[in-house]
Amino acid sequence: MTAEQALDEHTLVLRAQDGETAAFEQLVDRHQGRLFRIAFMVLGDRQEAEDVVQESLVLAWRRLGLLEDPAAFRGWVARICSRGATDVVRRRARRATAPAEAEDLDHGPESLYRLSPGGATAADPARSALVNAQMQALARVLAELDPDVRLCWVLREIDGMSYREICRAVDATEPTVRGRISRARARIVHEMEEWR
Amino acid sequence: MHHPEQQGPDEDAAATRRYLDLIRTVHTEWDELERAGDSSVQLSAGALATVKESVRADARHGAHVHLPPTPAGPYTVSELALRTLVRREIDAIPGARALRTTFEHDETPDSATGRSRGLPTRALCRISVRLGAEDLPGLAEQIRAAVRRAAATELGLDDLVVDIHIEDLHEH
Repeated sequence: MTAEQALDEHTLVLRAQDGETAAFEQLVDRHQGRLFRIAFMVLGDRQEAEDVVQESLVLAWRRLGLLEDPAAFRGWVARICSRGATDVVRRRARRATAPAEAEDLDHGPESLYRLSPGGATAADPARSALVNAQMQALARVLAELDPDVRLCWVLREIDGMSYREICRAVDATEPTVRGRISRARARIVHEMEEWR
Repeated sequence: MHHPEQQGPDEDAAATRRYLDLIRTVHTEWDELERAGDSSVQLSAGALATVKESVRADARHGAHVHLPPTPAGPYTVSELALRTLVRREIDAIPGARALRTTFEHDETPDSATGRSRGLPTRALCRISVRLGAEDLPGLAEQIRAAVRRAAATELGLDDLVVDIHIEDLHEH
């Protein structure tokens, strides 16, 4: 078995549970981008998001033996990451600092706002400017949402989790989760009217 | 990549369209940047290396397993080494791929700490077999013999019981 072989996720999880670090490293490579996306959208700060993802992945390795269903790895690791991000938000609140002030978001994924030079939209400067403005405006709206509302919205709209998975991730009932996501959508839609 | 539902119960159609466009744009831009390897939308190379090194270090410092004593005295190996040996033997058999192995151990005075495990008495090897492989019982027997031989010659474990459980099929 070589590291280069493309193994399916089920096999990688079982081999990682067996202690094969190379298998876990492939899982890290597959999932770190989406975990970073979740953490950054919740925290609005690149450095904090990176720290949360790092800690989550190491914690996932240590707890991997507790995962009974290898097919559940995707949701399970996202749950660890989103809880880590929530802990950071709570620590911030305890320190009585403003949760993710809008200017903090300027320290985020710079390229997301200026767009990739090779990206499809870069050829159209007017479109690029519009998208950049929308991204920054979205980031500001997210920063103003209640953290629990923001997390549910991110897991649904950014990570594509099912409502059931979100309920498990945030320890809330489905009506609660649906309500939070609905409030976030309504707030974003309302704010979008201001951007026009 | 996920796209949001097409229905927004309390939103008018135009506002919903603009909202869905925005979400699509977020996905498109992130996906493009990630595909291009842009470091601003994922872990930096340094952070990734730190995660992987932490995992390797953690694996190295895992539990130790008691083996039959040698003339020089008590003998233990890391659980990682034991698992690596079993995986290596299974993967070496054409058509077989190791998944996960669980061990039963004798009790030892320090088992409760989790840092040390007693003599392995039984191994349950969960494996995947290449699609189309013939004579599955024969393949299982080959694997059992290989694991038992390696356990005996490399670790001095002459009486290890090896169970093989074929639980998956793979194509390549």
